[in-house]
Amino acid sequence: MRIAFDADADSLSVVGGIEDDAHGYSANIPLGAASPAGNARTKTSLASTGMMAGKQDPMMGFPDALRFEPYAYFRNIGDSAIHLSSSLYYDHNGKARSSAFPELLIPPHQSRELAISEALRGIDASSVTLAYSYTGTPNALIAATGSVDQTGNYVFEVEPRGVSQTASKSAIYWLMGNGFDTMYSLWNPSNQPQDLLLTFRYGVGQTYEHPMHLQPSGTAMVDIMQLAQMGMPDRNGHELPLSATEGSLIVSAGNGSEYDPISVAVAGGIYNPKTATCNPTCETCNGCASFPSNLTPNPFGEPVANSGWLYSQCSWYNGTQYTYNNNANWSSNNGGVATVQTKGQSYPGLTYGAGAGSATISSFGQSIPTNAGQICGSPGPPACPVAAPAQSGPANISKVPAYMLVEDVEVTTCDGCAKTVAQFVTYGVKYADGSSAGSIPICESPTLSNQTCSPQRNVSFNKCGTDNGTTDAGGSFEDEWSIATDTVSPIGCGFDLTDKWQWYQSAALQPTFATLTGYVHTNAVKTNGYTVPPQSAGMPTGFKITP
Amino acid sequence: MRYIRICQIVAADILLFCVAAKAGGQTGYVFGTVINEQGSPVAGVKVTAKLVDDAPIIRVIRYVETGTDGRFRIDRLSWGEYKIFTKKDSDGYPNSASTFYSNTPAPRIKLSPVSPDASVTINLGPKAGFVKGTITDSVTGAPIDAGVHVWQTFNPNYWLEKSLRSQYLLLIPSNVQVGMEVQAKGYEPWYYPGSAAPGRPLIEAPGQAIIVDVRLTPIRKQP
Repeated sequence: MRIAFDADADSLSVVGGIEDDAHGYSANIPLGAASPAGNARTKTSLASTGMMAGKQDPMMGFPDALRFEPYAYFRNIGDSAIHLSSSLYYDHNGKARSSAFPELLIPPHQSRELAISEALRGIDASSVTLAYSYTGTPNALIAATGSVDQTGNYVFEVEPRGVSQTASKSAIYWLMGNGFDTMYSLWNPSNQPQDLLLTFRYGVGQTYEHPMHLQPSGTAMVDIMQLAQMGMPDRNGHELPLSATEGSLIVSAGNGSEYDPISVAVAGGIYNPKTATCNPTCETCNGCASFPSNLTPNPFGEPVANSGWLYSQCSWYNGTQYTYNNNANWSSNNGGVATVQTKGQSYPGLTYGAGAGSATISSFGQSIPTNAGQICGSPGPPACPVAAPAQSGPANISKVPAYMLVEDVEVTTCDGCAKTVAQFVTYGVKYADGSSAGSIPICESPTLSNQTCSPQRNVSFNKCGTDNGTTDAGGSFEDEWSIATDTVSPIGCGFDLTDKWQWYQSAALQPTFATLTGYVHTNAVKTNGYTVPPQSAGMPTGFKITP
Repeated sequence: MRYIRICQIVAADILLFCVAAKAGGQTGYVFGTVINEQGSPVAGVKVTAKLVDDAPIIRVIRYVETGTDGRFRIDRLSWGEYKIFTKKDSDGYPNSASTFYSNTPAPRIKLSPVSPDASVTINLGPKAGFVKGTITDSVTGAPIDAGVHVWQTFNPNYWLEKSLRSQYLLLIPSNVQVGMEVQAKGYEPWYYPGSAAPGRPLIEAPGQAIIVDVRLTPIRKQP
């Protein structure tokens, strides 16, 4: 049947099926929209995974005499002939086997059947996967594949799915109980073995994690009811309770990462062996839901001669952030200011400050998995979609304060004190070339020891991040050291101190530009070897303090 | 500042009880104006708020400067009691935190969740006196960086020591007798007005300036 209409492509929705009024048998008719004839010809690879064959496991609940035969019909809805290459994959005596069909020529607007039953004659396999490919315009071929029993009562359609390397896949709904069961078939199209993790989610945040190993070209079937009835423990020792009547499934790499690549075709069906009904499930290609235009962090800043990370990230379909630095080409528009490692190097995204200034860093993602929503119906997209997002952002490379100079020293009694002294030193923060650092956020990282005053009180200092200080426009700041009260004892008590003054460049980066060592006592303050009072014995003006 | 008002209605006597609370945040601020002896606003005055908690301190003194209208604002102050100090040396207003210069209690404010801000007017003055001049080697005339020890002669507990460049400017409290000693490594102590032992004190009127050139004598090496 061919339906043609003169309107926008999405303005007409068509569904179709066949049914036997007398006995209630029914089946869907796959419908496809032909691509315009001018579209480029590409190779499309698909697989119908888990077509039942012969007698099934008694635990699945089918009548004992039931025998299944797989079927595969193809129709070319394009205007050019299609040469169909196809192979059958199955497990025989525990080993993955395959058998290739002769190339099938399908003329335009004609249908052909692939003789699967004949190919399976003499082979003891309860489940087979049909993989096929062709070169033509997209969607030029529609396929009806599945299994049917000898009475024609049980028709279990299997919808073909694209075959390609992807991120994890999800099946958003499975059903178990009240005569229903859900079965998933997985096929490994690669020539490498794969370890997968099937995470069944159910109830409120509960999971059942089922590891699976697939041989090259190997097929596996998972019957959820069987998992529950057998009480098979998952990798955490948990069982899937029979009370878990519905849930969802994520098929991921064996380590459980939803981001890591896998190469597996997944097909599922919710069936009821008593009522002879079966509905294919929908799957989702997991991936990025959106790509920001900026790299992270934005803006990015670091000192000269330091390295820091820029990240290419997207919002994953589940709301997490996916970083794909390793799958992106990176570049800088000003290598004299900042350089960045790219794909193929050890640390893509690692940015090095070569000189003070600003540069634009760009990343160009390659084949980044993209969320495609649910794949329902036949044949679905030929492959899970990928994107090539471009992101960029500024890298501001700053000079690093290298030391500070003593500009002024003042010693007096502390505010409200009669005897306890206070030292006020004005320091000027400098870059290595002697120029002023100007107004920058600073903080300190002190190490205190030998505290001898009673009572002891917490020392007030400029804690990095939460209580930064600031130098003035000329790069100077006034630093007070004092016990700050007369109400401690004994006279002369205090603490030893090593105090690192740091530039608060960011939460992750606080380079030290000067280190002070000495002590703060009620009656004296010692700084880098100079003890006051008297002030004449204190640090001289112009005294240089380095990290 | 944004406030929310929580009103509780006591049904029995229809009494409205309203509480003003700060909407979010754990810090407050102090703002105000700095004026001189004539009541005019003073620009460029450094103002700082110091927490009154007797805690040992090893930190930056955070100053803000008054604008042309004498106004200032210090934000990000955690809850507690603060003293407000000022200084503008170039106009003769020394650091009010130093007891050497001022016995006048500093203005105090309290910040809390129910009083997250406070206003204060600060009166400067009286002005200090200025002492300025040069410090040189009495033999070679070479300029010398030195340190000075100044004290109120009637209360030696009120003192200050400060580094001085060879061309220096020093503030001393006005109308107070002040002793002055200059020291430098390798030189004999020098006392105002130019002796090897404390001599007559300095005393200046507010804003008055005098020039004191200091000639330091090198310590003779023992044969």
